[in-house]
Amino acid sequence: MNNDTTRIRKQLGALLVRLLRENEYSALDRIPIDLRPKKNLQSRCCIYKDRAMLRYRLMALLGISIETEDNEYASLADYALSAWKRTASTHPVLTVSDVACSSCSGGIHRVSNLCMGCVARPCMNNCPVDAIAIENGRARIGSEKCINCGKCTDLCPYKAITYHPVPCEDKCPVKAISKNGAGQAVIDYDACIFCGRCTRSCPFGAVMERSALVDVLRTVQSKSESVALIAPSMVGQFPGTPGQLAAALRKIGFTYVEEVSEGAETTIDTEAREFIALQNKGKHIMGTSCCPAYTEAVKKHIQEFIPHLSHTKSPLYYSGKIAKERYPEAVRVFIGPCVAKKAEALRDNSVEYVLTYEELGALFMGYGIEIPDLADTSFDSQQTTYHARGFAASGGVSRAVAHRVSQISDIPLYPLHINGLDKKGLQQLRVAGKGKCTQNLVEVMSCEGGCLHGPGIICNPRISERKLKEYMQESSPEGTAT
Amino acid sequence: MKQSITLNICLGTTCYILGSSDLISVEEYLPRKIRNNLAVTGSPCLGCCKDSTLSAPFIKINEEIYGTATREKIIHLLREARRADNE
Repeated sequence: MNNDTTRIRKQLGALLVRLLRENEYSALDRIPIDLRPKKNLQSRCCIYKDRAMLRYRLMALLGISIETEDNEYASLADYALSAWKRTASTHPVLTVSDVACSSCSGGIHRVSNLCMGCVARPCMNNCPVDAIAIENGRARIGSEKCINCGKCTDLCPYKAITYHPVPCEDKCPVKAISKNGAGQAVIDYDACIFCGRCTRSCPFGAVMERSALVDVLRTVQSKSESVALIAPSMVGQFPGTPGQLAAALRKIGFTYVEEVSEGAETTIDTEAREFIALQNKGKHIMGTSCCPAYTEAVKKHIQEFIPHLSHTKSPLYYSGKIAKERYPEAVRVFIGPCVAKKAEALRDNSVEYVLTYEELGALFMGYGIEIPDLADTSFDSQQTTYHARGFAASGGVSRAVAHRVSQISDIPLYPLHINGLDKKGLQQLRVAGKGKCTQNLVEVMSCEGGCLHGPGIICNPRISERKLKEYMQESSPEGTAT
Repeated sequence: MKQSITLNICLGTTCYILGSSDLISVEEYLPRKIRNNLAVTGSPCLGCCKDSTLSAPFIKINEEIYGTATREKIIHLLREARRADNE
């Protein structure tokens, strides 16, 4: 997704990587001034706030938790030094900058001056909670009574009533982000499912991931071994071929490069066998298990679906395990489109670090690597199949499991796709949890459209979807590697 | 007969990451009037990002290079190029 907040994040990441590579720590504190010089157009109220924001963005890129960090004397160079010395990522994976949060005063219905104070007054007469009164010839909504049902907006013949959302709250499916007394957004990490919607929906870019960029940079620069595990949604995220992408990863210092779709083969087989075992005991609704935002949502919010959740692990987990067996000494870095994978990796210890494509893009830019100029290198993992690569798009997981089930049994599989874990998707999941669905396999993708639409992508999904189809066709012929 | 216009979109790593991945399909969004006699091509790195990445992605219309390209900016620039041709 491209807008100014994602652009700034990528550019700052690239600058950060370049300066850290050159050991120019002290130059970090000049970035906000260099990017917002005097006599330049600012994007906020003044250049000073712009600069302060850039500083906080850099802190998030350095992996600092902005809300708990209150040493205002510390320079970015200090933070970079401490980031360089830390040995692991920590919870939580997100951070909110209270300075950036514009304390949007929305989440309410408002009557605009288009209101004619008509005689019919459909708004007042149909409000279920009597929240609307007419004052000075115009409708007024009593915000303490209003339940935001939206009836009045539909009924007003002049379209004078509109809903003003708070973008982060509006997009969060589990009400984990809300405003504190001072009006600033705060995330309740006990409720958060790390889907990443708030990070991309905030027009001020106030919600950010705590990046592992520095940790990965230190890893690839060190003499020790490292392995990059890259998700099938990599197609289209960078220019050039997958082989050139593998070459670029080696060029920045990864010792090995593996495709996570190899781990997906294990997920497919294990999930298919689990499905068959369950169906043999009578009809059972089984939910797939690889989307981490959805498994988190089930555990935190949809207790009734817990018995349906498959015990099979995600492709990331199996890939991490395979990598550990092959390269016991290597530091493992997963690269994908996902914010929730950062939380999953911390939970399962399946890999040491997680980067999004955006963050990997910052690394490539910071290294000045021209991917299309490199010669293809092959992946160190085994050649993967059509179905394993298909995990990146919605419908792919259930298609893969169905295919495997049909190879080893004659149990019929009826998939239900919950494509996008918004409020409606959560409701569907709740219903399925109560056993009220006719299907027997539930595939859930937190991001509508699947991983290719994830928060950390670079490429327009319309293009990457086409490229994924091509890449699936190029896979090794029929049969799973497990 | 109108002069043909060439639109060259830089697909170097930096430009691609900072937005040109989204510009490759710009042709689909162009009004028909502009699409006529227009050749859209992707280009290897145009070499504009060497000093600073701040203005990426870059595009080239005929022989002129432009930075911070967006779909809307491209449509606007092509319209201008068309108008210049007609005069």
